Amino acid sequence: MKACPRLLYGNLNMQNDSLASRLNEMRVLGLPLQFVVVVVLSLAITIFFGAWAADARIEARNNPYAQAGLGEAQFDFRTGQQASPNGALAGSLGNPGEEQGWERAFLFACPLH
Amino acid sequence: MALGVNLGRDPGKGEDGGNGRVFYPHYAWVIVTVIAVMQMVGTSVRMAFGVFIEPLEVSFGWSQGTITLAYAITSLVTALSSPFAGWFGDRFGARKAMAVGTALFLVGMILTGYISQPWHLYLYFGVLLGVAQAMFLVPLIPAAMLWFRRHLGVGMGLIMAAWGLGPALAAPAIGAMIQYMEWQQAFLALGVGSALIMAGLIVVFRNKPSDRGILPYGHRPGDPSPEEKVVDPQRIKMFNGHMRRTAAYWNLSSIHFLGCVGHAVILIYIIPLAVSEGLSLVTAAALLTVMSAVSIISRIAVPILCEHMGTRTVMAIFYFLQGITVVSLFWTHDPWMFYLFAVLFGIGYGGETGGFPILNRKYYGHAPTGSPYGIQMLGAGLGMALGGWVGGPIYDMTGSYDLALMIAIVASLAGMVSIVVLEPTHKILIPDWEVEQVFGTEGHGVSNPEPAPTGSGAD
Repeated sequence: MKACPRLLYGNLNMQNDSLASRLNEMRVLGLPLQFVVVVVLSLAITIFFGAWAADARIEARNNPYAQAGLGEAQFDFRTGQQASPNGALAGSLGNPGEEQGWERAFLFACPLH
Repeated sequence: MALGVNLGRDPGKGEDGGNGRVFYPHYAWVIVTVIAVMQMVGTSVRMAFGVFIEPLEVSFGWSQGTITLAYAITSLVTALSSPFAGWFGDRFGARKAMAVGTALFLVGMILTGYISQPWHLYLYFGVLLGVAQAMFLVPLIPAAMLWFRRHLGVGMGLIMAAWGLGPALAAPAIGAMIQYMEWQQAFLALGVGSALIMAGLIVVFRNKPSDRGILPYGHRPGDPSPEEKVVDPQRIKMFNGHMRRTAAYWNLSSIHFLGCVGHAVILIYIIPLAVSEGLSLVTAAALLTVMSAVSIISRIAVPILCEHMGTRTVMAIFYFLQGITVVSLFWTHDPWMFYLFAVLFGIGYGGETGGFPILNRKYYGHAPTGSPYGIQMLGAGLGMALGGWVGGPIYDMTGSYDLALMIAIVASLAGMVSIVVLEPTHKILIPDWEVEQVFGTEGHGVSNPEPAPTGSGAD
């Protein structure tokens, strides 16, 4: 009978080996489980926060009142003072109705936004 | 007799005379100095990039976001080209990698002095200097490893210390240059001056001890030659294939990634965080200086401790220190508390990176480790990019750095757990790969385990 390719494999039946050895033998698509977990979680965090930021920027761009709710006072390194709430962000949002490429990409990738 | 002539020539009794001395004259120390200075000079411009922000703003009217994107591009390009740089070093030698890096650095710096559009900055500073820095950072560490049969930790500690010293020296030095000349002239002067220094360093650098007709540092009679195992490109390719099948090859990269996320959040956001708590900009900026200065101590100590106490144990302790000290920031408000944090965090942060070359030696022996080190530096670069970026959107959305701090803590502690579950270091992972190649077996390091080749500490 033809063997089916396995996505996840490893030797979980070793009686005398440590947890570390078992973890190191567990593979997903040929890569160590630990490595895959770190990659997947990091991608998830990046996409989630990127989409969150994109969502907020688009909303603020289309609704000037929402800009005040984006973050609190920001620090302006040029003046060494606290800037007006979201002044820096508001100034860089662009025109209403416009969406930048990175914003579209993050929103497309994130199922929660 | 001249230093460069007699160093390391003691063929009779072995390089340390068989008595295990840690320090004695040897050309390996020249190599350590060359690498430390090369990495400090080659990465100084990126480390001091903040100094150029205001002059560029004034000259072109570009926003800070437009300018700092160049820094992000440099970091990403360095990270993404690290595996290539590691392969290049293994294939052609670190000396040629240094020469290529120096040429790219010189061209990138000169062209950056003539920019007029943002994309010029991204291409010349971001891409050219990004690749140049990968050439300086990645192949030189495995090259240093070839020079040490024993006491690798001491050599690595000195090189790692230079990584802490660089930021402390570069920013004020370049800032002083900009006060006396235009920023364009500063780029030209830095490019030409640095390239001249690098050219001098390349002249005295040698890829391996046999290029000078000597044995590695700490070599004793009866030790096998470190260059016997893997020399020609075909065998390097074959060996790299075996390394890629070990879990450590991938896990060390993700561990370096987690460690860098853990400190990048702090390095980038500690200043705005401290300012928001009422510290002046100057007082807050000094926190970074304190962290860098304190980190020099643990950068020197960690590789040495790794050799004697067990690499995984020491690395896990310093990852824990890096993560757990961040918890205190939730209750830190006064300047003295911030400085106490900077000291304690600096110890953990400085110890994050020094164990990787030692682990590579313990896992892969004296084989060329440019490839795994390149993958580890890729992880580190991506970690720096993610950690440096993620606090920005979090602050924009929540008005607080708390969530970013939590990410830093979780990343460091997850790195610690990953280190604990790494393979033990008492035997190298692929000792009999050539036998496997002949007989076509799949197992690694099981049938004939070979003791790890450096230091007494195994864990």
